[in-house]
Amino acid sequence: MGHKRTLLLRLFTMLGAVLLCYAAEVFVCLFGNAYQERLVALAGLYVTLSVSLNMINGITGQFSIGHAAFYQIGAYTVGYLSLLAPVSMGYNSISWLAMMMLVAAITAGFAGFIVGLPSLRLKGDYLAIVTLGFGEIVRILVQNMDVVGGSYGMNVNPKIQHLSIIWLLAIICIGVFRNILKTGKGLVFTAVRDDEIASASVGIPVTKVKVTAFVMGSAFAGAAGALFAHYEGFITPGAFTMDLSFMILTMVMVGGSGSITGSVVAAISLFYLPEWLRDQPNITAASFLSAIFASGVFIFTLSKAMDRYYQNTFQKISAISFAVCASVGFKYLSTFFLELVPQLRDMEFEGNQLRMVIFAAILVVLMLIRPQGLLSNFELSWKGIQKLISKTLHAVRRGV
Amino acid sequence: MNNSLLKVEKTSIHFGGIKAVQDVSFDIKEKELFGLIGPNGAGKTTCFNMITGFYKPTHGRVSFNGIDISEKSMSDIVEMGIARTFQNIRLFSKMTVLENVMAAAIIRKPIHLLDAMLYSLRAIEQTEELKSRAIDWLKVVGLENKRHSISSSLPYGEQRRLEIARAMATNPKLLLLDEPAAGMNPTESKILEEVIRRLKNDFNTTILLIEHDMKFVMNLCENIVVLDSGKKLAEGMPEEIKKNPKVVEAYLGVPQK
Repeated sequence: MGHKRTLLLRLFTMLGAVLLCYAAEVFVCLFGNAYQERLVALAGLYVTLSVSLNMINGITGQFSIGHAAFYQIGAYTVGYLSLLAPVSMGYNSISWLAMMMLVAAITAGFAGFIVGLPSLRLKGDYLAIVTLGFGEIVRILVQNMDVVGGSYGMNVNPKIQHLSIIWLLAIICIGVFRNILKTGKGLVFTAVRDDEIASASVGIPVTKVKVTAFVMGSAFAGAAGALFAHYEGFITPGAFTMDLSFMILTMVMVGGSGSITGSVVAAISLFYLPEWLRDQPNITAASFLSAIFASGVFIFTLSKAMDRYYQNTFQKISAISFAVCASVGFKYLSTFFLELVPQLRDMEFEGNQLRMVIFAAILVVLMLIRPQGLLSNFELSWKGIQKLISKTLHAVRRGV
Repeated sequence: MNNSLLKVEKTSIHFGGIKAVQDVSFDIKEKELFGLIGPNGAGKTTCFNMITGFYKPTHGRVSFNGIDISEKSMSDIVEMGIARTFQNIRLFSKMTVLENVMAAAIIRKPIHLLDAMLYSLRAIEQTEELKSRAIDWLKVVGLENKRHSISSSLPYGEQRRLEIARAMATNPKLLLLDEPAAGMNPTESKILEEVIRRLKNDFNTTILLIEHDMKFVMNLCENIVVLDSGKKLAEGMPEEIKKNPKVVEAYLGVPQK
């Protein structure tokens, strides 16, 4: 009985996910413009990429910084196949996409296996160097292959733009890794992260576990690459540079390595942040400088306050709000004084130019305040939500 | 009367010019409490690392249950039934006490990756089973009440016991304990002594232990090998070892009157 119910429940959840994705696509297409649509699609891809890298970096503890390579392998596999079978052979777009995703995942997973098997015996920095090198090798190799257009790039036909499929892949990726972590199997990966020698001493085949995580992560990145290729309809090696790898890595780190929820939150917010910063109005040099000072004040007061008052959530919240008040106050005060200097008052920065500076500054601040990442080890779960609700209710009742 | 379980035959380990272990042989019988003692740097831990496959012997062979294990990998050796603890505790520090033991128990109850990916009913069942097994082991070492604490937050003596529970969760026939009582206060080492006796009597585990606490060793062990600078100095029952002039000179020292 219980089993049947769980299975039914799960079926409904899956159906719900599909419907939700489809509804989101319809919603975005109805109310958004092409730019917003593209952002939603790319955000979905970034979620997949950062969650899959988190499996390698955060959960298994292998520092890989070549994730864009697997994304690229996925995209170019699909691109090459579209050359061979130009009219998608009469399949409808969704089943064609699904097939392509599978092929790309297998190719990228295989590439992950080939790279991972020798290099995962390395530790820390050395593995990072190897993966970094691999990323560059793949990009430059593709740049010099005329079959796939070299550095000019290539068209991928047909152009299939399904937001729902992109987000469905993200959900599947999250689901698969969450499932693994919920069972005892997940402990094997976290054990390898915590201590390799101890893992080996209890019979965990360390290299096999690392390679498995690596292959799974790269397979999902490959599938995301396939969707990217079909979404854009055009790919160049320039889209898969080291910057992309580092961006994904930053998402994992900011979200809290080891937390899937964190990766999702960080992927979406870090992807949207620079786009959102595009629309900022011009600001004067005075207010820009004062903002920098104010963030300094924020970090300083927060760290001082946290040192002293860290016992409970209430104290933490009050420490944070104190820091916010102090820094905002300082911002206005310093703007006032800086604007007394005419040069600073009259010089203007365009919001758009500053966006990468601001983006970087936010990252720096974030890493200073929360080196363990936004959510560190936290995972969102129904149980956690239920607990939170009952706790709050309890507190409210006691208060009354 | 008993069959020999572990046979170490004329093994040597050389690291470049350093001969850490030279021509050491000993025999451990089933259900025996076997002690390995000697001054610091005598090669005791190297011996452990050799038995568990971390180092390969330069010469000689190690056989377990009649099978040569000197060339096998660490995880294969664990699977055959040898588990160990470490001199400087190596727990999975960010995981809870329960998870530590579950991670070890999984090799006797493997969960298929595909099952785990799909969170299938089988995976759920197996996880539950792992959990109950792990709790059983935590009960043996008396840590079942602390199962949800993060392992690195436990006091030292409990971390040692947790490490033993983790090793036992792989269902070993032979358990190697590397200085289990080091740094423990008398109460803690008393508890540990009982735990070790229980492992031997209730679970038919053969135990090989390295220890510097002579009272602990002499109380517990049935047979002792003394190593000194990589060579075997003596072997025998605790009473013989205590009286052996060579051991007294190299390690035990003359009791002060």
